[in-house]
Amino acid sequence: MAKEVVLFLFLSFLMLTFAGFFGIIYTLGSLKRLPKLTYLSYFFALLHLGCTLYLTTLKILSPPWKFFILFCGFSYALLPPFWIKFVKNFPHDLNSNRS
Amino acid sequence: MQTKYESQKLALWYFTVAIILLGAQIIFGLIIGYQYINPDFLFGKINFMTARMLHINAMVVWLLMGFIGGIYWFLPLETEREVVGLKLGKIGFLALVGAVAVVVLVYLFKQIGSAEPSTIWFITEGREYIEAPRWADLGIVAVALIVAFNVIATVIKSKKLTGMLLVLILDLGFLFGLYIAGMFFTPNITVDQYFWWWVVHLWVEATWEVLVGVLTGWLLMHLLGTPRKIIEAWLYLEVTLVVATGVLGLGHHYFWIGTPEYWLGIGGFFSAIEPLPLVAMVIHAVYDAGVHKLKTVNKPALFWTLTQALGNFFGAGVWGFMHTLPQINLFSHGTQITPAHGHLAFFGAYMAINLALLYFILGQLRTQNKYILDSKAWKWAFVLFIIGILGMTAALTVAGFAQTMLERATLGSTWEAYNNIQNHPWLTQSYAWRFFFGIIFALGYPFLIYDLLKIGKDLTLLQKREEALGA
Repeated sequence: MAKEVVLFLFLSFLMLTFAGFFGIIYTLGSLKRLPKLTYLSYFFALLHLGCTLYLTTLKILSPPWKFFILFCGFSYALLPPFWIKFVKNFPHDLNSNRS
Repeated sequence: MQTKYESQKLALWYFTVAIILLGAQIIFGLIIGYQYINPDFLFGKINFMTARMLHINAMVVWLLMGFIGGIYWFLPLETEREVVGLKLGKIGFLALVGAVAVVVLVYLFKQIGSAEPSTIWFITEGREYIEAPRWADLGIVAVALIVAFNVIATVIKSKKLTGMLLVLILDLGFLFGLYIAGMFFTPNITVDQYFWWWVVHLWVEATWEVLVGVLTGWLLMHLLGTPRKIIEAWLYLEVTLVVATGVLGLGHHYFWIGTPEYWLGIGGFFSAIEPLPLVAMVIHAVYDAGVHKLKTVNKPALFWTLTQALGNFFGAGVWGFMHTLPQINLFSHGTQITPAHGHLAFFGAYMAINLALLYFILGQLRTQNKYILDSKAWKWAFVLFIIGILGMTAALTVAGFAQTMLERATLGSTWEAYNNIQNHPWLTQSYAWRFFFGIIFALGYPFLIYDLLKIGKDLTLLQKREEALGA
């Protein structure tokens, strides 16, 4: 039990940290149009999803919670590409009307 | 040093007291950090509970004063007129400062009272985080009402209601309304805790987040020239996401206080998706910083704004997520993981934005944003604060992991387990490291003060730097 609890703490920490790295690096890759950065961000997305899947193997979570962790994992993985599209649609022209 | 509006002077008064209280927070933080290593330190004079109370209360008050200062700075700019009822605003400020001084003296020299109603009214209410006595509570509500009145009356008089002002007015209503929820007692501890969390959680994870959203919006408009339509669209979206996840995320505090079992599911679900808007904010912040290529006349304000987005995600998001599901929280609840989360989240979400606001205001006031604001001192303060807070968070996280694994999951959460774990090297060494990084953090404070006092004093240097950059 103790091992499972600490493993959950550690993996969930990594899961969200990798999701954050994915978001930041994906954004930079998209902004600078650097495919290498985008590929690097996918690596972090894979690590994030790996942690998510590992979490679902822990016995401490019942099946509905495992499904929920999967839902969370995919939400955090899908958010950056969708959000970047949304953000890019905002005009970022500084000379546009401020009021 | 001339402000365009009188109310902006009031903003500066608020920020001055806020920064002094930040110093008090750091001093009392160091005291309790050292008391973890040497429990006899100042025993009988400033006991751990008193110093901890002052550490946390100083934080709550200085952050709130910074927010109010931000409102008084931007409100006349937004409405293009002087704030209505400014005299009342000044009276409110003086009353708040006087009340804080009296409460601190009572905390330090009286500390506790007998089990009489007079203790609640004049010494302390005894509720964790909101210990202020009842008279001071009423004062806080009165000041919040004065601020709300200033905002609403100014908007009515100016006949200018922008989207951001509307969000601010609605938020101020919740800000003082929710505080009242923490002011009455019931003999039922579950009911008592149920409403106490309305103040502690909903203030921090709903009303403060929205207030910071409004202030950050104004900051970005004036700092980077971001168009209002972008700011307002983003603000509405952020408010929706934060409120949608943050309000029911409150449920993670209802796991173990005697509330019905359905809170396990509600709290677990909503608090696990609370970091989603924070990820979105990080993406937007990184994107905007990239679009502007970090070019700004006020570097400290920009870097503290970016720190806010990142710190909010890591502190509130990552550290919150890992211990928010009930299956895990059963073991991690009340361990050092909680202060690890609290330290990084408050630093990231609120301290960073207050410093960004202050730098922006001082830049606008003393250099009219005509010169590039940059110095070695702010960089030293920035780096020392960041290293200090990350070190403290890491040390507390290690201690929390040890407590969760050994005291809770292995030894079964008994008093014996609690006592046994206190001398475990993973805890004692973590406490020593936490104190060390606390000192690092504290070293950032004099650099901050020096830099804030120095801004704009050497315009020749700024002009030369600008010319060099221009060339």
